[in-house]
Amino acid sequence: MSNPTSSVQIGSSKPLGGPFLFSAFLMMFIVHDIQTGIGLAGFQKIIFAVTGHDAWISVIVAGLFAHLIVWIMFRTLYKFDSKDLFEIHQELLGKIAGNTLNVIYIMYLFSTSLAILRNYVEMVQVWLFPELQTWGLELILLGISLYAIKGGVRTIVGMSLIFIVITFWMNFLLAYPIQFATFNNILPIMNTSLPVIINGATKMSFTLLGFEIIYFVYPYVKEKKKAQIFSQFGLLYTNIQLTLIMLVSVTFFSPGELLRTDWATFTMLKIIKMPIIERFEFFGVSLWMLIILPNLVLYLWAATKGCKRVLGYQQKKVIIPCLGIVYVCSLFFESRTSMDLLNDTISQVGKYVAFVYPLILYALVKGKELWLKRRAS
Amino acid sequence: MLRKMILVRALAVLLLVSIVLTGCLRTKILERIGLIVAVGYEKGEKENEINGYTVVEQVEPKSKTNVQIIASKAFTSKGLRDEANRKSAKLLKSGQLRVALYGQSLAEKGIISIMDTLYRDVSISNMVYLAVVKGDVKDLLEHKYPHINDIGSFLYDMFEQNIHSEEIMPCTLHDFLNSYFMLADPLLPIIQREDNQIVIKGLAAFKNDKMVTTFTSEEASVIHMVKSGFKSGLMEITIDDVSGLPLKSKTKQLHLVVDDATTFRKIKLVSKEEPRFSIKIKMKQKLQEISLPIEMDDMEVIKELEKKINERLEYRLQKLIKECQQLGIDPFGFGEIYRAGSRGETILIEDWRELFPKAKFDIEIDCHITRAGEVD
Repeated sequence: MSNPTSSVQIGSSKPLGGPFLFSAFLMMFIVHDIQTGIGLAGFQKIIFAVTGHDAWISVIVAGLFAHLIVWIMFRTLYKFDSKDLFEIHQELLGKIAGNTLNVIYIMYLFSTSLAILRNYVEMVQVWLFPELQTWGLELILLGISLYAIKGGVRTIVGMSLIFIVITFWMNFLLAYPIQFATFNNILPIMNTSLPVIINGATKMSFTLLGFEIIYFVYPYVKEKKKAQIFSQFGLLYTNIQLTLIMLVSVTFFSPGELLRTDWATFTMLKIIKMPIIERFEFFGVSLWMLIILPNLVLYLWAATKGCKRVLGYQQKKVIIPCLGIVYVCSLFFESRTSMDLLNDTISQVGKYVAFVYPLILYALVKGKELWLKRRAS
Repeated sequence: MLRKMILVRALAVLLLVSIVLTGCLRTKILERIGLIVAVGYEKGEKENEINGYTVVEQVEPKSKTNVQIIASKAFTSKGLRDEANRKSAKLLKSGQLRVALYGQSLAEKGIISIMDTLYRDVSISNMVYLAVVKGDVKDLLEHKYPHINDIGSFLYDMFEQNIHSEEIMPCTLHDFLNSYFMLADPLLPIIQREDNQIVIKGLAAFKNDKMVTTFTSEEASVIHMVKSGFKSGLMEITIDDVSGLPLKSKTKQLHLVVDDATTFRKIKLVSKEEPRFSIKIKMKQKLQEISLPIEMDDMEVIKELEKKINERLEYRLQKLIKECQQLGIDPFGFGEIYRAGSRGETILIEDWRELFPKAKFDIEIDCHITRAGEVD
């Protein structure tokens, strides 16, 4: 246990940042975990409404685009030795402009964590306990988050690793709906025109969202060179999973059913019957918390990190006020309509933050590089 | 040291989560709730009124399970549950609902709104069995059957067993809604009380959500063969034309029962403008019973019998499709095959309703009797 050079451990220590670093292969789990969550529970309806039975092609197209964006993100990060996005902003644009951008980004991170929190509570209310009070479960979830964030980045990473390993077997549950699938449903393949498929792919943004976290955890990766390949692996896993779920959903449901099913992934679990547990989705929704939690924690951690960078306080000191704000804000989202508004806004903003902004940032970095070169010569 | 601490922290988070999951919410103690296992709906006297019958199972700590049937009247299915709850000493919960029955007169009026409530209620499984009741729903549920002490579980077991042995097609909520929303029409089994027995009488065919006609068990098995095929099914076949078979007595009809029928189906859209389908079905089966003794030693006789079965099934299927075309319903789901074969077009159910009656079908059935039983 005490051998510090063994590399496949959650917390092997090495110089350069020392005990705060983690192995590159853990990027795989971080990226996959933060992408899996609320979106995956019910993305089918949104994409299907646009692309129809070719929805799975949209999922693949969106996934490929995400791979490209991650590649661009790493191109940007490689230019700055070991800095997170907040520091990059400050260095690139100066203190004032950089911090303005940082504040906007922090607000985005907070509202995303708020959406994750509120959506999960809603899911529990609909599926498990209708009489559950929103404030109670939220308080508990945020309490656990507080504990995890205080543990530092490696606790969070360890959490996503453990939780993914624990929930990995859930992928095999897809075998149940496949028995009831009508494969005829996906024919004729590519019946939808390309613009429509791309339009459907843009609707995937809310589901694919999350890989922005790479910008913030990258400084803590031990083997920086390998970070990219493992992140891409994590992303690939998400994409394969989403495509499979979409294919199964399209073949399992009829169009009319799919369009009126909010959480298609869980509705598919409704058919599972086991001798010891009659209604499997109860189990599924409970286990879902294990997937949601690292998600929530990662966003909150990145946001508090940002507060530290902008305000200059210690991260530990800003956590409680920040979580308090998120908690109070979340209590305002009472009805389904207000939550839909929140989700729509996040998915609109997230589309630009996650998919467009990395391109702009890379262009800025390149531009500045060229400008400096020209000035030097 | 540090690594250990981090591991401990991560595990502590996990532990906390599991504590949270067992949280202290309003508990539902089994003795204090009534589990709804089956519901029955029937047309009420007033316009749009529904009579509902809720079969509630109550777990009594000391005695054995006690079944109660609560009758209520309302305009919506949720209203029915509310009223039933007001009549019950225990809180009614529908998480264990397994069977929903619809009276024929109600089914003829349309049942999608009731289905929709079932589907929307997340506590209700998609695998609830649905059926149409010929005659009185109240009578079927409330009759004192000498050999059935729990009507809800009995109905569930009956459907489960029959679907498993491929006597009837799957008739779950999922199946109904699937056909309803696709270019196809739903089918549900019909049940009826005959003295002290509950019998599956055949199939009710729907147009959208309204029941329009019924099929006999023989017709039902032909539809079954085309729609979902058999893995190991049982079929009753009646042959009218017995010429060419070495029969000892002079009869006009020959009844056969085949067992272990396995089908390989190929349904193709041959042409689109004038819809033309080719249906090719290969079936392997075991001859289980025959109404008259036939010498089975001879290969020629078996060949002849196979030919007769093919002719009979082709004729039945062709006739069934004609009937469906006249009624304008497509219980087979040919519409989905048409849709899958038409690239670059959006085909709605209205379009298919117009096209289907004009469709032509080339049917080819190829039976193969693998065994004729142990004793000839």
